[in-house]
Amino acid sequence: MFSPGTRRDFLRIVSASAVSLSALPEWGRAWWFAETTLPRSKDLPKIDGALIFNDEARERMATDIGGNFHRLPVAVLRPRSVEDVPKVVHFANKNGVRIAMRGQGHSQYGQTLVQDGIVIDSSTLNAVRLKDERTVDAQAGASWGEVTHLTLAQGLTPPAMGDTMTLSVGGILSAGGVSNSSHLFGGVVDNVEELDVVTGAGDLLRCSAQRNKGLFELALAGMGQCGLIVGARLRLAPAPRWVVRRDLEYDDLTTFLSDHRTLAIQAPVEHLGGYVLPREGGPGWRFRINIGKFCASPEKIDFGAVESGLHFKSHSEPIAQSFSDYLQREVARNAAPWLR
Amino acid sequence: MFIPGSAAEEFVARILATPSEVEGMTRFSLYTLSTYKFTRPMFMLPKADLALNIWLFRRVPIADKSRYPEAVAAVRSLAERVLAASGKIYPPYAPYFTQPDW
Repeated sequence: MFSPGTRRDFLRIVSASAVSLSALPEWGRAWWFAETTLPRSKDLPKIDGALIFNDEARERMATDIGGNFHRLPVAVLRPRSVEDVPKVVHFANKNGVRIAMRGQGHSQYGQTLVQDGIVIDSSTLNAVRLKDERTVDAQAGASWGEVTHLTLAQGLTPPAMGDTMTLSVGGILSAGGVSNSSHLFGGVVDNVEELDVVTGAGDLLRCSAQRNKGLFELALAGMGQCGLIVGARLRLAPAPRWVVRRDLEYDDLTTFLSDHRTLAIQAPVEHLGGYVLPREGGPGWRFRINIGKFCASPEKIDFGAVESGLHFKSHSEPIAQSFSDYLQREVARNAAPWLR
Repeated sequence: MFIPGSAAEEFVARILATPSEVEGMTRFSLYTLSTYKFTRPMFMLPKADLALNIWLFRRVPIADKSRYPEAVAAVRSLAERVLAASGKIYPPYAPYFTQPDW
């Protein structure tokens, strides 16, 4: 299997054969080096949404959740249709203006910011539609909570979603997405059937593992550098009704990591987490594995077989919660993660 | 950040023994991943069967701006150690994101 050393290595190899990315060098120049400001003239594209120039809207897009940088865009696009995005990309290319697409701005070091450029606020592209029992279509700005609100009503769920339901589909797919179930299901990007992507040339293309494969592979976890994800067809699986979790406690790092590896390899649980915590009442550290089983009925869960062969010091009583409550477990913390 | 499984214990132990890397820690969580489950080429993981995914969140009080460069330097140092251990950084939370880094 081809295994590139860096993302640039992969980009060089794929872009040599992918017609849809023929304008990528132009996109790269526009992204990184353009210094021009946006003309407020009759040249502005006719779009369904709005290009907004007021200070309040621009300021809202000038920082991300990391709070380390302030980069003020010259305008904010609030698209009302997917077609608005390629129109503005064309416009930006023509005028040498940089673009960043932003979901919830959950980057730490300014990755979703662009000084003097255009920020595409994807939150207005948030439609979600169940296609069939296997897949759901979601626009980039839809949150994972909006996706599951629709799918859980049908007893279905994406198998991998990241751990924070308030984040956007486009944001997670651009980043990659890992979760407490990644030991079973891989990254969120491994559970996508199809994408709608706007290329650097301003073309809106549908891509998948069978069609425009190069673009599909460059866009998933591509951080928006190889095309802007505007929509996705996500795989679905039957949703569990309940999740039962418990903590396994450890005093030493070696045993903790050994048991964590065993659980990841043997995969007897659907939820697998781990934490380093300050030791209570003194210096040093303690360690915790959080395991969880997905099930139809919480009464039937027995962790005996799961825990056989593990070497924890103690464990908590199991706690059962509905799957929909389980999906919300990280929302409060990630609302301001550095403060919690 | 993602550390090859074989280097995970030494890497975590060093963080825990380095006060500047855990000061202000608000969350330190770990997942072990089987890398073969990750099939998309742009999602970079270590070239190893297992990888430890480490999320280390720290906070510097906003009022104490003099501490900020020191905290950033500690994060950068940690990121360089990740790469030196043949690990990978998760791009949205990377402490740098320049064209050469990409």
